[in-house]
Amino acid sequence: MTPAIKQILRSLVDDARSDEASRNAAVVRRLQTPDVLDTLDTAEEYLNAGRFRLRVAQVTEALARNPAPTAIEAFLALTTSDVFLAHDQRVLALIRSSVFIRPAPDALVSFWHARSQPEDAFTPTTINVLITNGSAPAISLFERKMADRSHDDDSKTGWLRSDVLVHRNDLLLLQACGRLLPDKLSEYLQRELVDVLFDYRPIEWYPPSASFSPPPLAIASREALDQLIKNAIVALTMVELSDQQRGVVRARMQEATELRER
Amino acid sequence: MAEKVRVTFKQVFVKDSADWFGSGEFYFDAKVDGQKVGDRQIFDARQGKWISLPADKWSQEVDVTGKTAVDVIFNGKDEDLFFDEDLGTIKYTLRPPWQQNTHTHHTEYFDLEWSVELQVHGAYGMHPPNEVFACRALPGNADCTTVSGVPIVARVEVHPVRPVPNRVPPRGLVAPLDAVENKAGVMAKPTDPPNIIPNPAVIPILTPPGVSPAVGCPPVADASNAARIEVTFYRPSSLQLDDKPHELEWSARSLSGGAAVNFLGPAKGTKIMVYGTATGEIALDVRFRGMLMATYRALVMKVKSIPCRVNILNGPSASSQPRSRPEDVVDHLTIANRYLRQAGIELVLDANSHTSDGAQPTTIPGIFRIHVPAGMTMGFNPDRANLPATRLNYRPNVMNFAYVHSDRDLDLGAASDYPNSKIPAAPGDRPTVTDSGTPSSSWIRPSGVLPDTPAVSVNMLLLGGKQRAGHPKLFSMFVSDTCGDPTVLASQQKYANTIAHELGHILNLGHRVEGPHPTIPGQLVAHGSFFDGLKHPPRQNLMHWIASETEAQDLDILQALAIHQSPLVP
Repeated sequence: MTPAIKQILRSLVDDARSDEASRNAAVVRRLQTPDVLDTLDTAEEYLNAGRFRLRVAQVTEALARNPAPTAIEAFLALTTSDVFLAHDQRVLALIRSSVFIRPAPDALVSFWHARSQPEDAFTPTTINVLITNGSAPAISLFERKMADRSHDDDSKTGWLRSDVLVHRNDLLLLQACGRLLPDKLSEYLQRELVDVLFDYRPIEWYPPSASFSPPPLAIASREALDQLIKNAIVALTMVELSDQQRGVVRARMQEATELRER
Repeated sequence: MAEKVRVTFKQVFVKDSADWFGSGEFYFDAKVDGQKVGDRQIFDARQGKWISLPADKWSQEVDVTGKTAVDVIFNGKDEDLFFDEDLGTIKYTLRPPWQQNTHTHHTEYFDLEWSVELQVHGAYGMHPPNEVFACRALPGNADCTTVSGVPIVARVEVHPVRPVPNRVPPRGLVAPLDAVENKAGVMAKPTDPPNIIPNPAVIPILTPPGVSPAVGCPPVADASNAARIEVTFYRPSSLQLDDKPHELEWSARSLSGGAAVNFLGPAKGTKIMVYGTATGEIALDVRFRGMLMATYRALVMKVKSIPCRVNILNGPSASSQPRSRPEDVVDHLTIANRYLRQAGIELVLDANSHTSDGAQPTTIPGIFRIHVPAGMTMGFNPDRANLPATRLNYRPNVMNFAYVHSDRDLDLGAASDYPNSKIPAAPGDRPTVTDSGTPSSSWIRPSGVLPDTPAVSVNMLLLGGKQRAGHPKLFSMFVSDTCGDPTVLASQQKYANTIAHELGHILNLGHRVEGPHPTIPGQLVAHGSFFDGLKHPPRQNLMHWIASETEAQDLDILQALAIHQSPLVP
């Protein structure tokens, strides 16, 4: 990194971290200037964005991590900027950074919704961010996406196995799953959701290159355990399950009950 | 081997002729190890002059194998008219360690110059001081002495893993090792010959030079395709084995199946070439001065060709198109084949021109381009069911590669579809491959490499199949632009390593060493579902869960055995 680029990056990150409205606004202004963007990350660096994080992503993350309302405003301004959104890698950087904004404002939910359309290049990243963000608006959008038939079931199995599984102790997510289970999903997805909430079959679900692990049930909150038990009851009474699945659900419900009574 | 020394009485300096007038008439009586040496020749002894003793008469060779002493006796006399005068006797006892030397001993009347030479490679003479004279076997090593009488412990290793891991079986040596090591890995280039990686698990069967191969027979053996077998360690460095190929002699013996190999070029030195002529398991023994110093074990088999096709998936915009061009793909596959040859397989582009899913042929047969929605080649979730990218334009039993822009998790690539191995397994169990050979595969301990304890059976777990419904003969993976600039050598090596690693999964290989579970101490990622059950070598195996191409390069005998049980391998 040349000293000039370092200087630009440092000033942008400092402004993004500031609680002064004018400095936050300056970040937005500069990140909508093609010259600044092209200086910050070269065309070659955009090509290698898969291996090396773009510098502009450090700026958007600094904005997203800044709790100042003006920083969030600045971040949201970028979500509607044609200049900033002109490159897919900057869109991805913005989506990834948005995981830190809790609770998600309506404008951010709109941005997420627009970047989670069938066959686009952003949906899996957006879904991951929704679940990791975990705020009520984010989980609500995830719930809508799960119920949205324009996204195919195979894609949704990916969301379940890689994103829901990792957060399957989260209360809001468990509540959303409880609402989805009875009648908002195809039968295939109902069973998939039950598997992801109550079972773990990595060799069947993942390629060897990328595996996901569920959190230990023992660290779940009492409320989450309660919700899991409710979901188990829904699964056992309202979802067509195999005997093996029923056994798995009962075993985990039993485990949750024992943990709850401790 | 017999250890022999030669004692030579070279010349006598006359200090006192022992006669009152004129010169004396000296004669000598000598014995070496009880054997008479020389004859009763009378020499004209002039005071202050040398008497040269003819070497052919005044030398004696002694086989000192097992001896603890050799007595050397030299007596001089002056012949006189009435009685001969005794000029004195020189007695000396040679003891091990035998050492070359020139001695001078004295009596009142004469000085004797005599020498001890040691036989090395059948020749006497004054050898360089570090030349090894004799060795005796220690467990795994050789207890040697140099011609200077200096004791050394010699050791030679031919490690099957390249790069050679730092963790090796016990050597029975004390520091300093003073070793010469040849342990580096190979960063293969597309222009390198297929056999660039040394010490492979599989020695390929080839047609002997001078014989025209029949149709369908293996190619003629040459320096580019015969297996390279290299010594990876020897000590002490003073042995200079790299400069003395005659010091190491190789031979082959079949371990099973009637395996047979021929050496290409001399079967001597630290680096040899060998090719197979009959399948089975072979041991290559390397000897130093006739002593067995190391054994290299390998499988002998034909190199099997795996047909493959490659689909470059182009999204609608430049930012969703992989950078690899067909000619780059060829380079990646060529390098990948350098890794795969260690296990006796190679990828060959599919000659069948049938297409589906809108695939367009390129100028290189077997490589196609397909226009797809952005989400099929960029940012997709690799864990979704029935990954569309890898199914496009496939043919049954032909390895199908999808070159994509990127997945959501920025993986370099990933295997997506792989049927079960032909090795049967009980329901719920994973198939296993067992090897009981010595040395053990990858020198997993106990390795059987002396002084380590004898090798035992080693079991390696395989991956069960992972298939989507309705496509039982689909073998597929994706490779992503995340590997880097496809035209730059360093990135090409990453593409190739990724291809070879993921193909390993498709051939049912698990991870050799698996990563730790993110939250449960002591547990492995995915509860060990993708672990092959073995923890050695620590980072050098191609199937290491995370090591990069600079380290993860090796495929071992266990893996070669498993690979050839994949339904993808003809």
